[in-house]
Amino acid sequence: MIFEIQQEEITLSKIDQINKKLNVSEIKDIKLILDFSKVKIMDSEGISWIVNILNTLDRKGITLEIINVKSEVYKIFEITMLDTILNIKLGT
Amino acid sequence: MKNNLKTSTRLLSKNKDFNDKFVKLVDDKKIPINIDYDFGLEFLTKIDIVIVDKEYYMEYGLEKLYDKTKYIIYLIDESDYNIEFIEELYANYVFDIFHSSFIPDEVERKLWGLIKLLSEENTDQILDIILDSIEDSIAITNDEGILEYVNKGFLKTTGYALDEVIGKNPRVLKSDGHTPGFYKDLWETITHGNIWNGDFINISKSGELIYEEASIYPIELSSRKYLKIAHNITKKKFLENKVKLSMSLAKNVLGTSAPVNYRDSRVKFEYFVKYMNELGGDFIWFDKIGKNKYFTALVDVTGHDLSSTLILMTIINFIKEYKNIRPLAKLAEQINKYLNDFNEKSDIVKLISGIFCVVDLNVSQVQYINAGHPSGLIFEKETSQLIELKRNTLLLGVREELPFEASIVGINGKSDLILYSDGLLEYYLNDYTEISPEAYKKMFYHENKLKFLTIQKELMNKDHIKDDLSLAHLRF
Repeated sequence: MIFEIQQEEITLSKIDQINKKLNVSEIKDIKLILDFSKVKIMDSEGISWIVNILNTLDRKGITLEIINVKSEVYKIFEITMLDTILNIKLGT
Repeated sequence: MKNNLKTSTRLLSKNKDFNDKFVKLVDDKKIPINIDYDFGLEFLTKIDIVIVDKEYYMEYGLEKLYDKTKYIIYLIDESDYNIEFIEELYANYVFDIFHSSFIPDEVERKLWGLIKLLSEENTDQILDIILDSIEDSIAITNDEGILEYVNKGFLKTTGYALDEVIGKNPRVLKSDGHTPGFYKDLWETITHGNIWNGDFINISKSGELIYEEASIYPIELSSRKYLKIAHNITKKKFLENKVKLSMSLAKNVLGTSAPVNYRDSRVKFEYFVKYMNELGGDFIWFDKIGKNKYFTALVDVTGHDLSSTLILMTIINFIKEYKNIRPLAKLAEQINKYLNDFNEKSDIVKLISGIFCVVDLNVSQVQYINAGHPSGLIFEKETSQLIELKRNTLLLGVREELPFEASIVGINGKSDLILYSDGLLEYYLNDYTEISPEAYKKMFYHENKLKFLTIQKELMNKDHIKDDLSLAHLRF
Protein backbone atom coordinates (compact mmCIF):
# COMPACT_ATOMS: atom_id res chain seq x y z
CA MET A 1 0.00 0.00 0.00
CA ILE A 2 1.28 3.45 -0.94
CA PHE A 3 0.28 6.39 1.23
CA GLU A 4 1.21 9.88 0.12
CA ILE A 5 1.56 12.34 2.96
CA GLN A 6 -0.28 15.49 1.93
CA GLN A 7 1.20 17.73 4.61
CA GLU A 8 4.43 19.66 4.05
CA GLU A 9 5.41 19.21 7.67
CA ILE A 10 5.49 16.17 9.92
CA THR A 11 5.32 18.04 13.18
CA LEU A 12 3.20 17.77 16.32
CA SER A 13 0.39 19.93 14.94
CA LYS A 14 0.16 17.97 11.66
CA ILE A 15 0.50 14.41 12.94
CA ASP A 16 -3.15 14.20 14.04
CA GLN A 17 -4.24 15.22 10.53
CA ILE A 18 -2.05 12.54 8.96
CA ASN A 19 -3.27 9.87 11.41
CA LYS A 20 -6.87 10.63 10.44
CA LYS A 21 -6.07 9.35 6.92
CA LEU A 22 -3.55 6.67 7.81
CA ASN A 23 -4.68 3.95 10.19
CA VAL A 24 -1.58 1.80 10.52
CA SER A 25 -3.22 -0.82 12.73
CA GLU A 26 -5.69 -1.67 9.95
CA ILE A 27 -3.14 -2.21 7.17
CA LYS A 28 -3.40 -5.69 5.67
CA ASP A 29 -0.74 -5.43 2.91
CA ILE A 30 2.74 -6.86 3.40
CA LYS A 31 4.35 -3.50 2.82
CA LEU A 32 3.56 0.14 3.58
CA ILE A 33 5.19 2.73 1.34
CA LEU A 34 5.12 6.27 2.69
CA ASP A 35 5.51 8.83 -0.09
CA PHE A 36 7.33 11.86 1.29
CA SER A 37 7.17 13.92 -1.96
CA LYS A 38 5.45 16.84 -0.25
CA VAL A 39 7.28 16.69 3.08
CA LYS A 40 9.71 19.54 3.62
CA ILE A 41 10.02 19.61 7.41
CA MET A 42 10.15 16.85 10.01
CA ASP A 43 10.84 17.52 13.68
CA SER A 44 11.52 15.21 16.63
CA GLU A 45 7.80 14.51 17.05
CA GLY A 46 7.81 13.41 13.42
CA ILE A 47 10.68 11.03 14.12
CA SER A 48 8.78 9.54 17.08
CA TRP A 49 5.75 9.14 14.81
CA ILE A 50 7.78 7.24 12.18
CA VAL A 51 9.34 4.97 14.84
CA ASN A 52 5.87 4.31 16.28
CA ILE A 53 4.66 3.26 12.82
CA LEU A 54 7.77 1.12 12.36
CA ASN A 55 7.18 -0.66 15.69
CA THR A 56 3.49 -1.28 14.93
CA LEU A 57 4.29 -2.68 11.48
CA ASP A 58 7.17 -4.81 12.84
CA ARG A 59 4.81 -6.51 15.26
CA LYS A 60 2.53 -7.40 12.32
CA GLY A 61 5.34 -8.50 10.04
CA ILE A 62 4.75 -5.62 7.62
CA THR A 63 7.73 -3.81 6.07
CA LEU A 64 8.02 -0.05 5.83
CA GLU A 65 9.54 1.89 2.99
CA ILE A 66 9.82 5.66 2.68
CA ILE A 67 10.20 7.11 -0.80
CA ASN A 68 10.76 10.48 -2.48
CA VAL A 69 12.48 11.92 0.58
CA LYS A 70 13.88 15.42 0.12
CA SER A 71 17.55 15.90 1.02
CA GLU A 72 16.83 18.16 4.02
CA VAL A 73 14.50 15.53 5.49
CA TYR A 74 16.88 12.72 4.54
CA LYS A 75 19.55 14.50 6.60
CA ILE A 76 17.41 14.02 9.74
CA PHE A 77 17.23 10.27 9.06
CA GLU A 78 21.02 10.32 8.65
CA ILE A 79 21.77 12.27 11.83
CA THR A 80 19.54 10.04 13.90
CA MET A 81 20.97 7.03 12.06
CA LEU A 82 17.44 5.84 11.33
CA ASP A 83 18.70 5.47 7.75
CA THR A 84 20.54 2.36 8.98
CA ILE A 85 17.34 0.53 9.90
CA LEU A 86 14.76 2.07 7.55
CA ASN A 87 14.38 1.53 3.85
CA ILE A 88 14.56 5.14 2.64
CA LYS A 89 14.81 6.39 -0.94
CA LEU A 90 15.85 9.93 -1.78
CA GLY A 91 13.64 11.91 -4.13
CA THR A 92 14.45 14.81 -6.37
CA MET B 1 -40.30 31.13 9.85
CA LYS B 2 -43.41 33.25 9.24
CA ASN B 3 -44.57 30.87 6.51
CA ASN B 4 -44.63 27.95 8.88
CA LEU B 5 -47.58 29.15 10.92
CA LYS B 6 -48.91 26.25 12.89
CA THR B 7 -51.92 28.04 14.33
CA SER B 8 -55.24 26.20 14.43
CA THR B 9 -58.58 27.84 14.90
CA ARG B 10 -60.93 25.88 17.10
CA LEU B 11 -64.62 26.61 17.04
CA LEU B 12 -66.60 26.05 20.18
CA SER B 13 -70.01 27.07 18.99
CA LYS B 14 -73.38 25.44 18.94
CA ASN B 15 -74.58 27.99 16.41
CA LYS B 16 -74.73 25.92 13.23
CA ASP B 17 -75.45 28.89 11.02
CA PHE B 18 -72.37 30.74 12.25
CA ASN B 19 -70.22 27.64 11.86
CA ASP B 20 -71.24 27.15 8.25
CA LYS B 21 -70.67 30.80 7.32
CA PHE B 22 -67.30 30.80 9.07
CA VAL B 23 -66.08 27.67 7.28
CA LYS B 24 -67.22 29.06 3.93
CA LEU B 25 -65.38 32.34 4.54
CA VAL B 26 -62.14 30.56 5.46
CA ASP B 27 -62.40 28.36 2.37
CA ASP B 28 -63.35 31.17 -0.05
CA LYS B 29 -60.74 33.62 1.17
CA LYS B 30 -58.08 30.94 1.55
CA ILE B 31 -57.33 32.11 5.03
CA PRO B 32 -54.44 29.90 6.17
CA ILE B 33 -55.92 28.52 9.35
CA ASN B 34 -57.05 25.06 10.32
CA ILE B 35 -60.55 24.66 11.65
CA ASP B 36 -61.35 22.03 14.19
CA TYR B 37 -64.84 21.55 15.63
CA ASP B 38 -64.67 18.68 17.97
CA PHE B 39 -61.67 18.75 20.22
CA GLY B 40 -60.50 18.35 23.75
CA LEU B 41 -58.81 21.16 25.60
CA GLU B 42 -55.69 19.02 26.03
CA PHE B 43 -54.90 19.51 22.32
CA LEU B 44 -54.85 23.27 22.51
CA THR B 45 -51.54 25.02 22.11
CA LYS B 46 -50.57 28.48 23.22
CA ILE B 47 -50.85 29.90 19.72
CA ASP B 48 -54.22 28.47 18.82
CA ILE B 49 -57.26 30.69 18.33
CA VAL B 50 -60.43 29.63 20.13
CA ILE B 51 -63.78 30.96 19.10
CA VAL B 52 -66.21 30.29 21.85
CA ASP B 53 -69.89 31.04 22.30
CA LYS B 54 -71.80 31.48 25.48
CA GLU B 55 -72.84 27.87 25.77
CA TYR B 56 -69.30 26.60 25.70
CA TYR B 57 -68.10 29.46 27.78
CA MET B 58 -70.51 28.33 30.48
CA GLU B 59 -69.24 24.78 30.11
CA TYR B 60 -65.47 25.44 30.30
CA GLY B 61 -65.15 28.85 31.86
CA LEU B 62 -62.95 31.42 30.17
CA GLU B 63 -60.30 31.16 32.84
CA LYS B 64 -59.70 27.53 32.02
CA LEU B 65 -59.48 28.32 28.32
CA TYR B 66 -57.08 31.16 28.95
CA ASP B 67 -54.72 28.74 30.67
CA LYS B 68 -54.47 27.03 27.31
CA THR B 69 -54.31 29.89 24.85
CA LYS B 70 -54.01 33.65 24.78
CA TYR B 71 -56.25 34.03 21.73
CA ILE B 72 -59.88 33.63 22.64
CA ILE B 73 -62.57 35.11 20.43
CA TYR B 74 -65.94 35.39 22.01
CA LEU B 75 -68.94 34.80 19.78
CA ILE B 76 -71.56 37.15 20.98
CA ASP B 77 -75.31 37.00 20.47
CA GLU B 78 -78.00 39.52 21.16
CA SER B 79 -78.74 38.20 24.62
CA ASP B 80 -75.17 39.07 25.62
CA TYR B 81 -75.48 42.72 24.75
CA ASN B 82 -74.60 43.88 28.16
CA ILE B 83 -71.82 46.41 27.98
CA GLU B 84 -70.43 45.53 31.38
CA PHE B 85 -70.17 41.91 30.43
CA ILE B 86 -68.36 42.74 27.19
CA GLU B 87 -65.99 45.07 28.99
CA GLU B 88 -65.22 42.32 31.45
CA LEU B 89 -64.52 39.89 28.63
CA TYR B 90 -62.13 42.32 26.98
CA ALA B 91 -60.45 43.32 30.18
CA ASN B 92 -59.70 39.82 31.29
CA TYR B 93 -59.40 37.22 28.66
CA VAL B 94 -60.87 37.85 25.30
CA PHE B 95 -58.77 38.86 22.37
CA ASP B 96 -61.64 39.89 20.16
CA ILE B 97 -65.36 39.52 19.68
CA PHE B 98 -67.33 38.30 16.67
CA HIS B 99 -70.95 38.97 16.28
CA SER B 100 -73.09 35.92 15.72
CA SER B 101 -74.88 37.81 12.97
CA PHE B 102 -71.59 37.34 11.05
CA ILE B 103 -70.33 40.24 8.97
CA PRO B 104 -67.86 38.54 6.58
CA ASP B 105 -65.59 41.59 6.03
CA GLU B 106 -65.26 42.16 9.73
CA VAL B 107 -64.51 38.51 10.46
CA GLU B 108 -61.99 38.33 7.64
CA ARG B 109 -60.21 41.52 8.77
CA LYS B 110 -59.99 40.27 12.31
CA LEU B 111 -58.73 36.85 11.28
CA TRP B 112 -55.97 38.27 9.08
CA GLY B 113 -54.99 40.64 11.83
CA LEU B 114 -54.76 37.71 14.19
CA ILE B 115 -52.73 35.63 11.77
CA LYS B 116 -50.26 38.46 11.28
CA LEU B 117 -49.87 38.96 15.00
CA LEU B 118 -49.48 35.27 15.63
CA SER B 119 -46.89 34.93 12.86
CA GLU B 120 -44.75 37.61 14.46
CA GLU B 121 -45.22 36.23 17.92
CA ASN B 122 -44.51 32.76 16.61
CA THR B 123 -41.24 33.91 15.08
CA ASP B 124 -40.17 35.55 18.32
CA GLN B 125 -41.19 32.47 20.22
CA ILE B 126 -39.18 30.17 17.95
CA LEU B 127 -36.15 32.45 18.24
CA ASP B 128 -36.51 32.46 22.01
CA ILE B 129 -36.73 28.68 22.08
CA ILE B 130 -33.59 28.40 19.91
CA LEU B 131 -31.56 30.99 21.78
CA ASP B 132 -32.59 29.63 25.17
CA SER B 133 -31.75 26.06 24.23
CA ILE B 134 -28.14 27.08 23.51
CA GLU B 135 -25.85 26.62 26.49
CA ASP B 136 -23.55 29.37 25.26
CA SER B 137 -24.15 32.80 26.64
CA ILE B 138 -25.74 35.25 24.19
CA ALA B 139 -26.18 38.93 24.87
CA ILE B 140 -27.14 41.94 22.78
CA THR B 141 -26.29 45.47 23.79
CA ASN B 142 -27.16 48.78 22.24
CA ASP B 143 -24.51 51.11 20.84
CA GLU B 144 -23.78 52.40 24.33
CA GLY B 145 -23.13 48.93 25.64
CA ILE B 146 -26.38 48.64 27.58
CA LEU B 147 -27.79 45.10 27.72
CA GLU B 148 -31.05 44.74 25.77
CA TYR B 149 -31.26 40.98 25.45
CA VAL B 150 -29.70 37.99 27.18
CA ASN B 151 -30.55 34.31 26.76
CA LYS B 152 -30.95 31.70 29.48
CA GLY B 153 -27.34 30.58 28.95
CA PHE B 154 -26.19 34.07 29.96
CA LEU B 155 -28.33 34.01 33.11
CA LYS B 156 -27.17 30.51 34.02
CA THR B 157 -23.49 31.39 33.54
CA THR B 158 -23.60 34.67 35.43
CA GLY B 159 -26.14 33.74 38.11
CA TYR B 160 -28.11 36.95 37.57
CA ALA B 161 -31.88 37.23 37.05
CA LEU B 162 -33.18 38.83 33.84
CA ASP B 163 -34.34 42.05 35.52
CA GLU B 164 -30.93 42.43 37.19
CA VAL B 165 -29.09 42.74 33.87
CA ILE B 166 -31.45 44.14 31.24
CA GLY B 167 -30.87 47.88 30.96
CA LYS B 168 -27.52 47.55 32.76
CA ASN B 169 -23.95 47.75 31.52
CA PRO B 170 -22.13 44.39 31.35
CA ARG B 171 -19.40 45.89 33.54
CA VAL B 172 -21.22 44.28 36.49
CA LEU B 173 -19.43 41.12 35.30
CA LYS B 174 -15.99 42.73 35.24
CA SER B 175 -13.24 41.00 37.20
CA ASP B 176 -9.71 42.16 37.95
CA GLY B 177 -8.46 39.74 35.32
CA HIS B 178 -8.02 42.32 32.54
CA THR B 179 -6.15 45.54 32.09
CA PRO B 180 -8.05 48.73 31.13
CA GLY B 181 -6.27 48.40 27.76
CA PHE B 182 -8.07 45.11 27.17
CA TYR B 183 -11.51 46.78 27.29
CA LYS B 184 -10.26 49.79 25.34
CA ASP B 185 -9.01 47.53 22.54
CA LEU B 186 -12.29 45.57 22.56
CA TRP B 187 -14.42 48.71 22.37
CA GLU B 188 -12.27 50.26 19.64
CA THR B 189 -12.48 47.06 17.57
CA ILE B 190 -16.25 46.78 17.65
CA THR B 191 -17.05 50.48 17.36
CA HIS B 192 -14.99 50.46 14.15
CA GLY B 193 -17.32 47.77 12.83
CA ASN B 194 -14.91 44.87 13.31
CA ILE B 195 -15.48 41.53 15.00
CA TRP B 196 -13.67 41.07 18.32
CA ASN B 197 -12.51 37.62 19.38
CA GLY B 198 -10.90 36.85 22.70
CA ASP B 199 -11.16 35.35 26.15
CA PHE B 200 -12.99 37.03 29.03
CA ILE B 201 -12.34 36.55 32.71
CA ASN B 202 -15.60 37.65 34.27
CA ILE B 203 -17.10 37.32 37.69
CA SER B 204 -20.48 35.78 38.49
CA LYS B 205 -23.08 37.19 40.89
CA SER B 206 -21.80 34.83 43.57
CA GLY B 207 -18.22 36.05 43.02
CA GLU B 208 -16.84 33.06 41.11
CA LEU B 209 -14.54 33.57 38.16
CA ILE B 210 -15.99 32.72 34.74
CA TYR B 211 -13.66 32.11 31.81
CA GLU B 212 -15.32 32.65 28.43
CA GLU B 213 -14.13 32.31 24.86
CA ALA B 214 -16.11 35.04 23.14
CA SER B 215 -16.84 36.82 19.89
CA ILE B 216 -18.55 40.18 19.66
CA TYR B 217 -20.22 41.12 16.38
CA PRO B 218 -21.34 44.64 15.45
CA ILE B 219 -24.80 44.45 13.87
CA GLU B 220 -26.45 47.20 11.89
CA LEU B 221 -30.19 47.28 12.61
CA SER B 222 -32.20 50.50 12.94
CA SER B 223 -29.31 51.42 15.20
CA ARG B 224 -25.96 49.74 15.91
CA LYS B 225 -26.18 46.72 18.22
CA TYR B 226 -23.48 44.41 19.53
CA LEU B 227 -24.02 40.66 19.71
CA LYS B 228 -21.81 38.72 22.07
CA ILE B 229 -21.65 34.92 21.87
CA ALA B 230 -19.53 33.34 24.56
CA HIS B 231 -18.58 29.75 25.35
CA ASN B 232 -17.90 28.89 28.97
CA ILE B 233 -14.35 27.51 29.26
CA THR B 234 -14.02 27.76 33.05
CA LYS B 235 -13.57 23.98 33.48
CA LYS B 236 -11.02 23.85 30.68
CA LYS B 237 -9.10 26.79 32.20
CA PHE B 238 -9.17 25.14 35.60
CA LEU B 239 -7.65 21.96 34.14
CA GLU B 240 -5.13 24.01 32.16
CA ASN B 241 -4.09 25.81 35.32
CA LYS B 242 -3.63 22.48 37.08
CA VAL B 243 -1.49 21.20 34.19
CA LYS B 244 0.49 24.46 34.23
CA LEU B 245 1.09 24.01 37.94
CA SER B 246 2.31 20.44 37.36
CA MET B 247 4.50 21.66 34.52
CA SER B 248 5.96 24.41 36.61
CA LEU B 249 6.66 21.88 39.39
CA ALA B 250 8.34 19.57 36.88
CA LYS B 251 10.37 22.48 35.55
CA ASN B 252 11.52 23.32 39.08
CA VAL B 253 12.54 19.71 39.68
CA LEU B 254 14.38 19.73 36.35
CA GLY B 255 16.06 23.00 37.38
CA THR B 256 17.39 21.47 40.59
CA SER B 257 19.05 18.75 38.47
CA ALA B 258 20.98 21.20 36.32
CA PRO B 259 24.76 21.34 36.84
CA VAL B 260 26.55 24.50 37.89
CA ASN B 261 29.24 26.12 35.80
CA TYR B 262 32.60 24.67 36.85
CA ARG B 263 36.22 25.73 36.82
CA ASP B 264 39.44 24.25 38.15
CA SER B 265 43.12 24.53 37.20
CA ARG B 266 42.66 22.24 34.17
CA VAL B 267 39.16 22.91 32.83
CA LYS B 268 36.31 25.38 32.59
CA PHE B 269 32.72 24.28 31.96
CA GLU B 270 29.88 26.59 30.98
CA TYR B 271 26.51 26.00 29.39
CA PHE B 272 23.01 27.34 28.79
CA VAL B 273 19.64 25.92 27.79
CA LYS B 274 16.89 28.08 26.32
CA TYR B 275 13.60 26.21 26.50
CA MET B 276 11.00 26.73 23.78
CA ASN B 277 8.17 26.32 26.30
CA GLU B 278 7.62 25.59 29.97
CA LEU B 279 8.98 22.11 29.55
CA GLY B 280 12.19 21.43 27.77
CA GLY B 281 13.39 18.28 26.14
CA ASP B 282 17.08 19.18 26.36
CA PHE B 283 19.36 18.45 29.30
CA ILE B 284 23.06 19.10 29.87
CA TRP B 285 25.20 17.49 32.56
CA PHE B 286 28.78 17.90 33.77
CA ASP B 287 30.70 16.12 36.50
CA LYS B 288 34.31 15.65 37.56
CA ILE B 289 34.66 11.88 37.78
CA GLY B 290 38.28 11.43 38.74
CA LYS B 291 41.67 13.11 38.76
CA ASN B 292 41.87 15.13 35.53
CA LYS B 293 38.85 13.21 34.27
CA TYR B 294 35.53 14.79 33.39
CA PHE B 295 32.16 13.60 32.15
CA THR B 296 29.70 15.72 30.17
CA ALA B 297 26.52 14.90 28.28
CA LEU B 298 23.82 16.62 26.25
CA VAL B 299 20.55 14.78 25.64
CA ASP B 300 17.42 15.74 23.74
CA VAL B 301 14.12 13.93 24.37
CA THR B 302 11.52 14.00 21.59
CA GLY B 303 8.58 16.26 22.43
CA HIS B 304 8.13 19.22 24.76
CA ASP B 305 5.40 18.06 27.07
CA LEU B 306 5.04 16.71 30.57
CA SER B 307 5.69 13.13 29.42
CA SER B 308 9.00 14.23 27.86
CA THR B 309 10.03 15.87 31.12
CA LEU B 310 9.10 12.79 33.16
CA ILE B 311 11.18 10.60 30.84
CA LEU B 312 14.01 13.11 31.02
CA MET B 313 13.96 13.05 34.83
CA THR B 314 14.51 9.28 34.83
CA ILE B 315 17.27 9.58 32.24
CA ILE B 316 18.92 12.31 34.32
CA ASN B 317 19.22 9.82 37.18
CA PHE B 318 21.07 7.39 34.90
CA ILE B 319 23.38 10.18 33.70
CA LYS B 320 24.09 11.50 37.20
CA GLU B 321 24.96 7.99 38.31
CA TYR B 322 27.51 7.68 35.53
CA LYS B 323 30.35 7.66 38.04
CA ASN B 324 29.04 4.31 39.27
CA ILE B 325 27.95 2.91 35.91
CA ARG B 326 30.98 3.29 33.68
CA PRO B 327 31.90 2.66 30.93
CA LEU B 328 29.99 4.92 28.48
CA ALA B 329 28.65 1.93 26.52
CA LYS B 330 26.96 0.68 29.68
CA LEU B 331 25.25 4.06 30.23
CA ALA B 332 23.93 4.17 26.65
CA GLU B 333 22.74 0.59 26.99
CA GLN B 334 20.84 1.35 30.19
CA ILE B 335 19.09 4.42 28.72
CA ASN B 336 18.28 2.53 25.53
CA LYS B 337 16.80 -0.39 27.46
CA TYR B 338 14.70 1.91 29.65
CA LEU B 339 13.27 3.72 26.60
CA ASN B 340 12.57 0.52 24.68
CA ASP B 341 10.73 -0.93 27.69
CA PHE B 342 8.74 2.30 27.98
CA ASN B 343 7.88 2.40 24.26
CA GLU B 344 6.84 -1.26 24.29
CA LYS B 345 4.25 -0.59 27.00
CA SER B 346 3.14 2.86 25.91
CA ASP B 347 1.00 4.26 23.10
CA ILE B 348 3.44 7.10 22.60
CA VAL B 349 7.06 6.73 21.56
CA LYS B 350 9.82 8.63 23.35
CA LEU B 351 13.30 8.70 21.88
CA ILE B 352 16.51 10.34 22.94
CA SER B 353 19.35 11.67 20.89
CA GLY B 354 22.42 12.51 22.87
CA ILE B 355 26.12 12.81 23.11
CA PHE B 356 28.04 11.44 26.11
CA CYS B 357 31.71 12.34 26.55
CA VAL B 358 34.50 11.49 28.94
CA VAL B 359 37.49 13.85 28.74
CA ASP B 360 40.55 12.14 30.21
CA LEU B 361 43.41 14.63 30.43
CA ASN B 362 45.71 11.97 31.92
CA VAL B 363 45.88 10.23 28.54
CA SER B 364 44.87 13.25 26.37
CA GLN B 365 41.81 11.68 24.85
CA VAL B 366 38.07 12.07 24.58
CA GLN B 367 35.81 9.02 24.60
CA TYR B 368 32.31 9.54 23.29
CA ILE B 369 29.08 7.95 22.26
CA ASN B 370 26.93 9.96 19.88
CA ALA B 371 23.44 8.45 19.66
CA GLY B 372 21.72 9.97 16.65
CA HIS B 373 22.77 13.51 17.61
CA PRO B 374 24.42 16.29 15.55
CA SER B 375 28.20 16.10 15.76
CA GLY B 376 29.95 17.34 18.88
CA LEU B 377 33.04 19.42 18.11
CA ILE B 378 36.57 19.57 19.41
CA PHE B 379 38.49 22.64 18.36
CA GLU B 380 42.23 22.36 18.88
CA LYS B 381 43.52 25.87 19.42
CA GLU B 382 47.16 25.39 18.48
CA THR B 383 46.44 23.66 15.20
CA SER B 384 43.04 25.36 14.58
CA GLN B 385 41.83 21.89 13.68
CA LEU B 386 38.18 21.00 14.09
CA ILE B 387 37.32 17.40 14.97
CA GLU B 388 33.74 16.19 14.59
CA LEU B 389 32.41 13.72 17.15
CA LYS B 390 30.11 12.08 14.63
CA ARG B 391 27.25 9.78 15.47
CA ASN B 392 28.31 6.24 16.17
CA THR B 393 25.03 4.72 17.21
CA LEU B 394 21.30 4.92 16.57
CA LEU B 395 18.89 7.22 18.35
CA LEU B 396 18.11 5.64 21.76
CA GLY B 397 14.76 3.90 22.22
CA VAL B 398 14.32 2.60 18.66
CA ARG B 399 15.94 -0.84 18.81
CA GLU B 400 16.78 -3.20 21.65
CA GLU B 401 20.06 -5.08 22.00
CA LEU B 402 22.16 -2.55 20.12
CA PRO B 403 25.92 -3.01 20.38
CA PHE B 404 27.33 0.16 21.95
CA GLU B 405 30.97 1.09 21.65
CA ALA B 406 32.56 4.40 22.53
CA SER B 407 34.79 6.10 19.96
CA ILE B 408 38.11 7.57 21.07
CA VAL B 409 39.68 10.81 19.84
CA GLY B 410 43.19 11.97 20.76
CA ILE B 411 43.60 15.62 21.70
CA ASN B 412 46.61 17.84 21.18
CA GLY B 413 47.08 20.80 23.46
CA LYS B 414 44.48 23.29 24.60
CA SER B 415 41.05 22.63 23.13
CA ASP B 416 37.35 23.41 23.33
CA LEU B 417 34.73 20.66 23.46
CA ILE B 418 31.41 22.00 22.14
CA LEU B 419 28.11 20.18 22.47
CA TYR B 420 24.88 21.69 21.11
CA SER B 421 21.31 20.74 20.30
CA ASP B 422 19.79 20.29 16.85
CA GLY B 423 17.62 23.32 17.66
CA LEU B 424 20.71 25.52 17.80
CA LEU B 425 21.98 24.12 14.53
CA GLU B 426 18.65 24.82 12.83
CA TYR B 427 18.59 28.30 14.32
CA TYR B 428 21.92 29.25 12.71
CA LEU B 429 21.88 27.23 9.50
CA ASN B 430 19.09 27.07 6.94
CA ASP B 431 20.67 24.11 5.25
CA TYR B 432 22.62 21.73 7.40
CA THR B 433 22.65 18.77 5.06
CA GLU B 434 26.40 19.23 4.62
CA ILE B 435 28.26 21.42 7.11
CA SER B 436 31.86 22.27 6.42
CA PRO B 437 34.43 22.84 9.23
CA GLU B 438 34.45 26.48 8.10
CA ALA B 439 30.70 26.74 8.67
CA TYR B 440 31.08 25.33 12.17
CA LYS B 441 33.91 27.76 12.91
CA LYS B 442 31.88 30.68 11.62
CA MET B 443 28.96 29.65 13.77
CA PHE B 444 30.91 29.30 17.03
CA TYR B 445 34.11 31.37 16.65
CA HIS B 446 35.25 34.87 16.02
CA GLU B 447 38.98 35.13 15.29
CA ASN B 448 39.66 31.82 17.04
CA LYS B 449 37.76 32.92 20.13
CA LEU B 450 34.60 31.02 21.08
CA LYS B 451 31.53 33.31 20.94
CA PHE B 452 29.87 31.57 23.89
CA LEU B 453 28.63 34.71 25.67
CA THR B 454 27.49 36.36 22.43
CA ILE B 455 25.50 33.28 21.43
CA GLN B 456 24.09 32.89 24.94
CA LYS B 457 23.02 36.54 25.06
CA GLU B 458 21.43 36.42 21.63
CA LEU B 459 19.51 33.21 22.16
CA MET B 460 18.37 33.73 25.75
CA ASN B 461 16.69 36.98 24.65
CA LYS B 462 14.72 35.36 21.83
CA ASP B 463 10.97 35.27 22.39
CA HIS B 464 9.72 32.78 19.84
CA ILE B 465 11.87 29.77 19.08
CA LYS B 466 10.92 26.51 17.38
CA ASP B 467 12.95 24.13 19.54
CA ASP B 468 15.06 24.09 22.70
CA LEU B 469 18.42 25.75 22.14
CA SER B 470 21.31 24.46 24.19
CA LEU B 471 25.07 24.83 24.18
CA ALA B 472 27.76 23.36 26.43
CA HIS B 473 31.43 24.28 26.38
CA LEU B 474 34.26 22.50 28.13
CA ARG B 475 37.63 24.21 27.83
CA PHE B 476 40.67 22.08 28.69
